Amino acid sequence: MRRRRSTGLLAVTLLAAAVLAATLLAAACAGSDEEANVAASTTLDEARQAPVTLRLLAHDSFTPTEGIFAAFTEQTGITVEILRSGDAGTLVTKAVLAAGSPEGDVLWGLDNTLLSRALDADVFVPYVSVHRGDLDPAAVALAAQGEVTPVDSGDVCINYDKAWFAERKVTPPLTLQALASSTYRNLLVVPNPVSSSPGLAFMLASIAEFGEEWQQWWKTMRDNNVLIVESWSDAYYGHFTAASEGTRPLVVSYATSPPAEVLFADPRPSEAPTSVAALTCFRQYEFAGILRGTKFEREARLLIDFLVSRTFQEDLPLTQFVWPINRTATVPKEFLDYSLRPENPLTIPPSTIAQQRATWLDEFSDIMLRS
Amino acid sequence: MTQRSNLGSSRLAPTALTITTAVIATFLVVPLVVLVVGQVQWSDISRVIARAATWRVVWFSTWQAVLSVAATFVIAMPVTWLIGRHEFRGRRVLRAICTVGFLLPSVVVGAAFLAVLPRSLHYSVLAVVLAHAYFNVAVVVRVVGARLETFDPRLSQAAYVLGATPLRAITTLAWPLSRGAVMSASGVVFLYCFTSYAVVRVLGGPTRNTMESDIALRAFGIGDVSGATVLACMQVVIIVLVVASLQRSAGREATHLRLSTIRITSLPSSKRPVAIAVAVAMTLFVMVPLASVFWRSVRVGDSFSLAAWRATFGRTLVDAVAASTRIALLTGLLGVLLAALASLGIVRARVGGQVLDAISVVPLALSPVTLGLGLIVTFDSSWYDWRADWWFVAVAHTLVAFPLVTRVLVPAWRAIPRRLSDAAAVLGAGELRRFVDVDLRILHRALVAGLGLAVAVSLGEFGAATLLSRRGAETMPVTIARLLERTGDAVRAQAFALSSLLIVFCIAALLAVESALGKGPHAERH
Repeated sequence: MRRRRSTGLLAVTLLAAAVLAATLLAAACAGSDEEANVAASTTLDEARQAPVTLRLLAHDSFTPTEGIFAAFTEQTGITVEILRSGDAGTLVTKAVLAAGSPEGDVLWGLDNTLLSRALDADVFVPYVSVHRGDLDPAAVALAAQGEVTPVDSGDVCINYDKAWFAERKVTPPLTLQALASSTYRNLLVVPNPVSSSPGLAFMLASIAEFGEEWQQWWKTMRDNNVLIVESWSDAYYGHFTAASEGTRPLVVSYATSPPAEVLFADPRPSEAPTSVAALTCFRQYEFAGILRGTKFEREARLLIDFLVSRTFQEDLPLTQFVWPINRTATVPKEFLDYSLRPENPLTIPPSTIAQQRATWLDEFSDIMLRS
Repeated sequence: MTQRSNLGSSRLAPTALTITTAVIATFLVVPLVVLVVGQVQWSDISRVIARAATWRVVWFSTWQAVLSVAATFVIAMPVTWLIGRHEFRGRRVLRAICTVGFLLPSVVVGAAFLAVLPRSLHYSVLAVVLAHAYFNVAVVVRVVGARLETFDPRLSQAAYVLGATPLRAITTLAWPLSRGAVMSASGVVFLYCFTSYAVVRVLGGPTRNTMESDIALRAFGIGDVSGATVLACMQVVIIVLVVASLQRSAGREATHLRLSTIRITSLPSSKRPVAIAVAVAMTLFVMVPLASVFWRSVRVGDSFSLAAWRATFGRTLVDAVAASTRIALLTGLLGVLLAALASLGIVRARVGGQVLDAISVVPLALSPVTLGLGLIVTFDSSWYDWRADWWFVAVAHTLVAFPLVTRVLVPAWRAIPRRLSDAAAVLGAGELRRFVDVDLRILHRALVAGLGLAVAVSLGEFGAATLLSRRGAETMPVTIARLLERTGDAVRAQAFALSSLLIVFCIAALLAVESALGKGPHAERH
């Protein structure tokens, strides 16, 4: 009895295995079989008649309010599917590799430190949004031909733990120059510029501030025992005194980290436990663009317009902690209350960044990352 | 030899060989070639080789991996001996506990280790090595343990009767019998540690890089895909060399040894204190980091909160659980199937078996990052643009998992006495009948163990999953990593809540597999 049942089970298993094997074999053979295209073109035709679904590629930090694209679908009949993959660096590398036969139709989340990498590889189809006049001109100027459209901005700055400095009656550092002083020895933690986007922005801030002298500054910082860690979350949640059991009251983070500390806390404190050194900020702009090779360029243009429209822009501050790029968008009061917007942030033209980035990163690694 | 080739000549084997090779070629070799041809400039090869940093990275990858293998065995051997040789209450639970670490996404284990280890050990080689051991104990327990189970205790009883000392029994019986499995496990652990990525980055800090993490940094951080691909090719060459030499030293072990199928003895009461000590130590080693994960899921700021757990039952997170399950199950199915075919080819094919044996290791040597990049550039247009299909992740996971499953199946298959199949042939059983009624029946256990491993790999896999775009829901590790990167205690607590759930989920799945094994038709084999 037992024997029969188990043989039956094995037979079924084997049958399933055989079917799967056949499928796999078919898939494997199909890989080199050009004639199977007939079937494919039919599916394409069907897709064209069906209502269009646009694929929006984005990095992992793209977290708009769920259902926000419903308004867009209502207006245009187009549905939007979000495809997230990795961080911004990963996103760009993938987009460059797939230039011409993209994984999606529109890409969100390229920033000015990575922009030229994508532009050099001719990843995008230019488009000038109908809302262009409303957008921050400084950001629009970075892609003057309309290759991509700016969508938001933010600043990377030194954040400090207010209580730590108050208890010890030490003044927090106001400038990058001040950080090199022995007062702040052992106090700063920085995410690795090679692997982290805020880390890279901070390295660029030092280059914008000190020019040729930037390496010298980092050598002083090294002697001042600055700690470099792998990622932003390691720095902030592994070492920053205000957010972890760590011992470093200074961290490289975003100018919008203080409001996030308040709005994501439960219960909400009356004021943020952290603050920002405004003169240390580097401005980041994020861009969106239509991927060259899309079958739905006309629809993709509508989506770009929607992304910079007030509806979408007003959702950004509280979901992604960035500033809208559309100057007509209203910023929620609670965001304004706790946020700092540096007036003259440090910056470097994307073209210079593109030429120098790899060299700078190698030089940085030689100074800071040799064990 | 002549006798073998008469009765064992197999028509199944060449077919299996062909299918396996075709699958590997399509999803592994072709993507790598496309990547190399499309991205690498010749000048980059000499540039990468000439760079001192390259060799620093190669050296670090190697010595930390050797150290990690040693640490893994030191930690795993007592419990492997306990589980592999003895029957006792809670054996399955203990084995499941040992496997848990292997399933967890490295981002979670990294965070857990940072929470548990004293601050002075953060960013140290010791932290990296311990975490590697944490992950890989499962490999030793599963691979070596599965082998120990197939020992016939009568052999050692005979040895003792004949006056052998315990030491002599080990050197003349246990070691020769388990050597192949030990080598096999060492090889796998070495590969995992050599190509370690997230652990090295989280626990080693930015000054320590393996080839694998350097590949990712070059490709994504610096945007030097060409240099990264050259490094990836170097990594494949190095690993294939290492594995080939391991295989050579393992030799053609055990094919001629007489092993009975499953015969483990119950634990004698004299060994009970040792057994309890081993089990408790192992449980603590595995559970303390897990407890810290759970602890962090209920802590928001300085107070307790169940908010994160309430959020876990929201849609995004439920979707993640569903997506992970779906992909893991498909991976399990495809992985076991592919590995069974590969093993059949390796064990039975007269021509090409050894070549396939070597080839089957290549997926381990190829970094998930490189694999992901290769898949993206290869399957990129018309009908074979599968980049955003959910099952494509499972295909990538299958490639990552199948070498490991093959390592489990091949030794088990080799240990099947040839006589059984030959006898069946003499009695008139056809090739397929022999395969089903002899080989598969004996292999049943190894197959289920392999299924568990494949599902495990898929559940914890992060590198390839994060690289392939996700349409709709993403897997749990990817969701966890994404949540960990966001600001706010409440969000991070959600990441830890989801991690806790993943842990519970894995333990449940493991227990299910273990109990299925217990009720299988072979439990009462005589």
